[in-house]
Parts: sequence; structure tokens; C-alpha cells
Amino acid sequence: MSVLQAVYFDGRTSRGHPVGVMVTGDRLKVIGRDVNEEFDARRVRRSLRIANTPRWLYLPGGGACVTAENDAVDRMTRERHYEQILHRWESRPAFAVLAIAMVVAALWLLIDRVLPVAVENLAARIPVEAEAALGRETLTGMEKYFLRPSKLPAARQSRLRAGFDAAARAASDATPYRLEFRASPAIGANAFALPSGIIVMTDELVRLARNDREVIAVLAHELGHVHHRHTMRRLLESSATALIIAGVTGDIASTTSLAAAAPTLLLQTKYSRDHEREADLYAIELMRKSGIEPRHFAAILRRLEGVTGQRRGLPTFISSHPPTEERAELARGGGDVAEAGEVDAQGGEEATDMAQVTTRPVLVALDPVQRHIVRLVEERDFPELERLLGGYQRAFEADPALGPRLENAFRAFDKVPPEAEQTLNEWARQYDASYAAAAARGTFLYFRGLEARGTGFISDTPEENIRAMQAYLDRARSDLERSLTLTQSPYLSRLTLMSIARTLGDRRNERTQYLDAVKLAPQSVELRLAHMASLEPRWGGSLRQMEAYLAESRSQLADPRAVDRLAARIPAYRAFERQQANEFAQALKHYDESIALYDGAGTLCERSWVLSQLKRDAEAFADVRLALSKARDVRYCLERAVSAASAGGAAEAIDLLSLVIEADPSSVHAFNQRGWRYQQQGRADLAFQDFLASARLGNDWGQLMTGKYYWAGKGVEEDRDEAEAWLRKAAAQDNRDAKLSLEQALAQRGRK
Amino acid sequence: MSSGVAAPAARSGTEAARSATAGERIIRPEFTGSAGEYFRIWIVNLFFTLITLGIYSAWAKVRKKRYFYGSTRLDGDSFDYFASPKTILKGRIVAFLVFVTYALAAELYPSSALAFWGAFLVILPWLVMRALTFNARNSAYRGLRFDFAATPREAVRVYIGMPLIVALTLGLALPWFIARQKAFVLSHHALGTTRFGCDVSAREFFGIYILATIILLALIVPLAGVMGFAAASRALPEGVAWLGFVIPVVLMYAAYAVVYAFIQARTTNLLWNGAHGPGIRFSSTLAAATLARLYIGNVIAIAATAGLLIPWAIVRTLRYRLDSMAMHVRDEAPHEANPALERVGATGQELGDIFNLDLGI
Repeated sequence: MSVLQAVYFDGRTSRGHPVGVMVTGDRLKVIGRDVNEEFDARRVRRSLRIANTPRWLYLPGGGACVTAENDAVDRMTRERHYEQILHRWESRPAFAVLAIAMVVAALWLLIDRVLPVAVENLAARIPVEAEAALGRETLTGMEKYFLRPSKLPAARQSRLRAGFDAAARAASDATPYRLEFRASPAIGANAFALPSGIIVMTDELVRLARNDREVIAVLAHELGHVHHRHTMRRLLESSATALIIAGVTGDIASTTSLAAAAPTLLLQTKYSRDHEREADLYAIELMRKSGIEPRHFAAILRRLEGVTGQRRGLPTFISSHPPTEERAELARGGGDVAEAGEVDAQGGEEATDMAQVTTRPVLVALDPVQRHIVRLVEERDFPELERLLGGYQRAFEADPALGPRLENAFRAFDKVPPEAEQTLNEWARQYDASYAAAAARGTFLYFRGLEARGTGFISDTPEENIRAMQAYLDRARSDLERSLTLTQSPYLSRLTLMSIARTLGDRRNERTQYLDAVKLAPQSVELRLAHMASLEPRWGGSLRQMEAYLAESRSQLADPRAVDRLAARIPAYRAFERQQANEFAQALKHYDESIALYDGAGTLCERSWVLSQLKRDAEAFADVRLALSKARDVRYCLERAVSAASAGGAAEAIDLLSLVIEADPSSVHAFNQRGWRYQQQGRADLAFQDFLASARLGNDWGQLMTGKYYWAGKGVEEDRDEAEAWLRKAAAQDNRDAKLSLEQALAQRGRK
Repeated sequence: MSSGVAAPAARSGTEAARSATAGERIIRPEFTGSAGEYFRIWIVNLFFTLITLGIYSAWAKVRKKRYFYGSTRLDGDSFDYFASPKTILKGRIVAFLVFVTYALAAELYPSSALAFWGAFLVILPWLVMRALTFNARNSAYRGLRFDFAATPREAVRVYIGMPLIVALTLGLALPWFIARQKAFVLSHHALGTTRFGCDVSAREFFGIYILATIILLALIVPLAGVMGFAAASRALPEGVAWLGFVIPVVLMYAAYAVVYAFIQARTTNLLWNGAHGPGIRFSSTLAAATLARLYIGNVIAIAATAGLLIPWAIVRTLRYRLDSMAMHVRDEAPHEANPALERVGATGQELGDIFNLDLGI
């Protein structure tokens, strides 16, 4: 039996007694010069073995022995398994080396794999609304120090907004965002995504860009940040990073703060670079889907680097962004979707042209009366216009039930080209007492005003657009007000004046006009729909007012169908609100309710959009087709149809696109899309006709495809001169694929 | 291993000056561990902490503390630390949840950070007391527990009243606060029934901080001049232009480290030279220059080895600090146990840890 040399403390004083410790069976004996104690060995606790620090035996009753003979203690008492492992690990240098490798591996796993995924999942679970306060405060803070009101012309702003909206829509992107233009001499050319989806773009960046596509590329990048919840992730990552750093360097942080600060900085810049790469990929994907070439992204990146130069020379590991070279390379690679010289386009490619998206197309008047009127305006046949439109007005005066025919005739002025303004001026001058002439020009100016405003929500619409719209609407109003004196029954003028008053926020005037108009046509649905619209909360009304008006109309309208049409507006408005909040399932329910009452084209198309957000493409398609069979002069429906046609089978897509092209023969999207669908079906001749139409309308992708078809003799007789000519046109528009194809074509021809 | 071992003779003149009193036995603390040993413990701790996502950190902490306590000898006997890792873990979980809530709320609703800090300041005295008490009562020397015994009233006075005065004087009273706070912590510690005391004059603290400010200005002003000149002349070639950004940061940090070391050395000396117990006094002879060299060397070594030399840096800094300390014993009577000690929870200590409150003295 071995005796352990130890020092005994009785726990009452600090005096130590040199003793020997022995274990016999269940008994542990402590024996020294003035000590002779015996304890139950099973109740003796022993301290953990750590390196060669002294071991303690805690004795029942509060005393303790301390000894340097670690191995003897281990032999004498039973050790738990994990303690042995820990001690072994801690005492052998070889294990230490292994532990270093494992720490490096564990750190890498944690930082590169576990944390980003965990943070991404967590961020996706936190509603965007949670960021609202932060977003507001950040923007206010930045406005105080760095940002000034934007000096960009409102028209430019609205063009960029519309362009970006269209690009996002073309890419079926529904990430909610709010775009803010600001000047910032302090920051310079830059754009940033703030919490809650606010995207700030500086005037300096817009000026730096050579074209709108470059601006849209940057916006798409920022939208990528918004979509991937990068502000929230950054926040979570910085908290997690702080915890990791505290864990790793915990015991040294107080002595040398840089030791903790440096790795924190490195980690955070790494995450920042990862986010930038993710946003780059997103931007490229969005651009590709909406037909903008990713090289525009590369171009603006280079230009940005040129002016700021702030990151120049900073090594990658401490920069918050990846090297521009790498990003530009990514954009180049991302653009490589269609192989040069090969006619078969890649699946799903849907080329569109930004410049075309942003202009409001002049629709073809499909209605025979409207078509006739458009032709008369074109031919400046004033007497015939007087006869025809005057006739509709007189018919209405005789019988107010003919109101819809009058409304329909005047809607022709939405389908005359903008240049018709001179013709209408001439008409009004020659027939200065004519109600028809005054009302026609007023109606025309009203539609021009709507166009000037743009398609965005009122809160997104720039000041200058609104001013342009107001100018048109003022002129429209003066025409229409003058027209009030030219007839006994200016129902149509009042109807348009109501819409103008609503748009300008003049609710009292709207109501006055309505009260006068309703006397002229008490049974008119259009009139009541227009008034109902002005009672919507977004125009300053409320759902309660809408309900009350519905009840009132119910007692006055004879036609139950008319009541249903009116009633349908209430769930439609509820749906609109849900849709604004991105609650698509809820929005859908309200749309269903509205459509059950009345299946108007506009509501069907709204529902179609919601359905496509819910990835129910087949139903979305069906809604649009139904809508187009009812009306083809709702511009939104035509746009929606082109998007919806990218889903579903080729044959039905072609039918739908044909309906669009008939109503809007300048829609290059529809031609490109239909051409591609024909190509899918192997009907090269029809595909060629569509690409040629798109090409003639100036679309670079259409030109590229036309060139390729001529080159390969597909759908048309092979004609390499024509092919070269079209490829040149496309290449002149900076279409990268066209440039490659052209190069290849020229090389082949040169070899011959 | 017994308490009768004689202390080695004083080694240098400066120590002799303080240790010359007749009838005193001078005891020097001794560190018996090594950087290599601690490295192995540290790396294993780190590994398990990482793969358990931090849960093991409570066990790691106990192992680390046991290693340092067990390797520190005073008069031949080492210290002992026996806190339960499970108690520490519970505290850490609470602290973690509080931290996460704080981080999220403060980021998303920046104004809520104020409420958090307000609440934190109010419970600060309680947290400090809990942390110090937990640590003291789980530490022992020669079979006797330490204790930290202050009344809540005293804690509120030091951790709420005094900071208010500092705020009212726009920070001018800071040295006075630091002197009082450090003396408060030291003088409320006890070993068994043996109470410690600490007499420090705030005036001397003011002297240290004024000198520190002068040193900082003397280092920073020329540095800023050189940097401004370098920035204006664009002297660096393209490829190494980033050095123009990194070098000033490094130099600034070095200046900061020198001043930090100066303050540490001088205040630690003052504090321990004023500390005493019945029949006991202490002395400390840290040299600011040596400490600054240590700190700067530590940072360079740690940065150059991606953190692998952290244990080495910790051990050599601790060793220097212990080497500069001495205990002077006049009355050799043994200390008595405090019969009233009870177990305390660990929450206080852990909240203090994670909010980065440096509670050490």
C-alpha cells in the first residue's frame, strides 16, 4: 500500500499539516504529527487533474488535502472517463498539434458553413416589418449628414423607376423595395440598400452611368441585397461574430483590444464580400431574365472603380467588396447564355428591350367604332368626326341608356398617337362651338396626363412627372369645363372631370361633378365606378364610405349586374391592400370574391399576377386569357399576358401572344416571346417572321435572331448578306451575343 | 509545501526600498506553469468550445482558472478554484439570451438600446456584487474560501453615485472614480475572517492620468504630422499603397498600448502598495516600459501566429505581474474560516462577462 505525501488543512484555519494519506478499502486515512483522521473514501471528492497543478482531496466535514502526486491520486481514486481523455489531450504535444488542425477546421466550418446558413434561415424568419423603424432612422440619419434632395429631373427619375419596375417585373421579381433618389456630394457615385428595403441611389451615380441599363444594373444589385435580407443578416452576423471572437480570444480581450478587433474586422469584411457576391449574382440573374445584358453591370462597376478609386490597392482580405475584376468577370460569364453562331436559343431566354418597355404603347383600336374614329382623326376629317361624335352625344341626350356607346366612342382618344394633338387643336379651332371637339381634346389631354404620370404608385412618382401630369390635366380640365357650356347634357365631360379631380386630390370637386353627372345618367355604371374609385382609401376615402355608397347605389340602380360590378370593387380594393403588403394568399381570396361578383378584365389580370407570385402559373395563364377575351385595351393586361405566356405550353402561349400582338403590334416582347415559342414548336418560318418584326421595331435580340435565321437559312432562304446586316444592327446596339456571332460570321466568310 | 518556508531575499534595489522594514517576512508569489502547458489546455478548450457551439466554454473556464490558480504559489501553497461549470453554464445561457435580445432590439429599434442600458446601469451594482462574490467564494487558499462582502448601499454608491458625478464633471472626475472603485473591490475581499483594506489617494491617480494624457499627446501629435505629410506627398508606389492605411493604424495602436501600459503599471502599483490586511501589506513594482514592451510584443506575436501565441502572451504577462508583487508579513498568525459562507449562483458573474465589463482588479 502506498502512502501519499500531502498537506492537510482542516478548513477552520489556514495552518497546514504535513501528512501521509492512505486508502484501505473504503477508508481513507490522514496521518501526521498532530493529525490522525479517518474518512469514508467514497465521500471524498477529488479535484480535476489539470496539467501538473496540485490536486485537492475534499474531505467530508470541510477539510482538504493537497498533494503534488497526481499519478498516485489517479491510482488511488477512480477517474471518470472524460477526465482521462481531457487530461491526455491536454498533456501531449501531438494532441495539441491535432487540436490546432481541428480548431482551424471547426472555425472554418462555423464561419464559412454553419453561421451563414443559420443566419440566412433566421433572417428569412424575421418579418421585414421588423426593420421598418431601423430603416426610417437610418435614412433620416443619412439625410442629416450625407444626403441632399435629388436634383435629377423628375422625368429622368420616373424613367429609371419605370425601367427598373419593368425589369423586375420581366424577371418576375416581387421583392418589395422603395427607391429614393438623393444627391450626395459627400458620398459620391454610390447606391445602397438600407433596412426594410429602402434603396438609395445618388445623383452622382446616375450621372456616371452611360445609359439607363447601367443604372438598372446597380439597382438590381441593391435589390439583391434587399431580397437576400442582407441588412438583417449583417446584423445577425456581427452579433454572432462578436460571440465567436469573444469565445476564441475571450481571455485576452482585456489586455490587447486590437487582438480582438482585427479578427472581427476580417470576419465582417468577409461576410460583406460574400453578400456583395450574392447581390452580384442576383443582379446578373435579374438582368438576364429581363433581357438586359450583364455587361452593363461590368461597365458601371469599372466606371465606379475609376471615379472612387477608394478601394484601389486595398488587399482583398480587408476590403468590404470583392475585387472589381472578379465581379466584372462574373458579369461577363453571366451574360454567356446564348452560344454564338448557334441558332437554337437557350431555354427560357426571353429577350426584351428596356427602351421599349418604358414607353406607353399606342394600342390598336380593335372596336370598329373606335377604329373608325382613329382613322378620321388621322385623315383630319372634321365634318365626319362632328357628325359621328355629335350623333352619339345627341343620341345620349335623347336616351341616357345609350351612355355606354358614347363612352366607348370617346375612348378612341386613348388610341390616337401623341402627334394627333395638332389635329385636335385644328378641329377645336375650326369648330369653336362644338361640344364634340372640346370634349375630344379634353379626353385626349386627360389620357396624355395619365401617360406623363407614369406607372408607379403615387408615392414613388417623382415631383416632375406629377407636374407634367398636372399641366396636361389642367389643360384637359379647361377644355372639359368649356365644353360644359356647349351642351345641355355634358355627362361625358363630367365623368372625365371626376377622374381628373380624383387624380389631383380635389375630392370636393369630384363630388360636385358626380352630383351633377348622376342627374344626367342615373343608371350609368361607369359613372358610379368612377365615383366608387374616388372613395377608395388611397384617394382619401374609406372602406366604410365605399360600403355606404354601394348601399345607396343598390337602391338606385335598376340593373342587378351593375350593382354587382360596383360591389366587386370593395373586395378588389381589399385585395389591392393585401397585395401591397405582399400577403398574396390573402389578396387572392379577396380577388376571388371580387371576380365572383364581376369578372372584369382588370381584376382578372391583377389576380393573374397574384397567382404567378404564388407560383400557380397555369391559373395565372387562364386568368389572362379570359381577360384578353373580354378586353384588349387594358395595358396592364397586355403586359401581364407577355409574362404569363412564359409559362404553359407553346401552342396556348402562341394564341395568347397573338391576341397581344393584334392589340399592340409594337410589342417587341410579344414578338420575341412568340418567335421563341414558334421555334420551340419547330415552326421556323413563323418564328422568323416574328423575329423579323421585332428586329424591324429596333429590338437588338430580334435583330440577332433574324441574323442567325438568315445565316442558317432557317425559316427563310439563306442570305448571308442579310444575316450580316442584321447582326451588324444588333451589334451596333451593343448586343454582346450579336458581336460574337458577327465576328464568327465574318471569320467564316473571310475563309471562303 | 508547508507554511514555514522562508522567502528568498529581495532581488533588486527598488524592492529593497519597500521591503526594508525590520521584522517582516517577504513572500513573493510564484508562477509554476508554462506557456506550453497552458497552450495545450487552451487549444483543447477552444476546440471543444467551438464544436459544442459554446456550451463547453463553462467547463473551459473552470479548467483555465484552475490551471492558473493551481500554478500560482504564494508562500509555497497554490490557490484553488472550484466553481461548478453547470452553474456557470446556466449564467452564460441567461447572459447569452439577454445579449441576443439586446443586440436584436438595439439594432432594429435603436431607441430601445437606451432602455436596455438604463436597466443595465440600474442593476449594475447588483451584477458586480454577484460576480465578485461568486468568484471570491469559489476561490480558496490553504483550505479557506475567499469572500467578497459589501453592502448593497456601498455598491450603489460606487457604481451609480460615482459615475453620476463623473458624468456631471464631464469625465474630469474619472481618475477619482477609478481609484475609489478599485479600492472598493480590493478592500471588500476577505480570506476567511481576515479582511483586507486599501488606502489609495485619488490625488495620485489624477497625477497618473494627467501624465498619461501628456504622453499620449507627445506620441500622437508628431505621428499625425508624419501621417499628414505622407498622405500629402503620396510617397508610396501603387502596389503597396495600402501600407499608407495600415501603418498609421499600427503606430496609433502602439502609442495607445504605451499609454495603456503606463496607466496599468502606475495604478496597479499604487493600489497594491496601499493594500493591507492584519499584519500584512503588499507591494507592487511594475515598470511601465517593461509592461509596454510586453503588450506590444504580445500583439505582434499574436498577429504573426494568427492567435496561436495567445497562451504564451497571457502566461508571460501574468508572470511579469506576479514577479513584481510581494506580500510583507509581520504577523504570522493563521487565518480563520468564516462560518457564515453559503453557496451563491453564477448569474452575476456571467452577465458581467458577456457585456464586457472588466471586473478584474
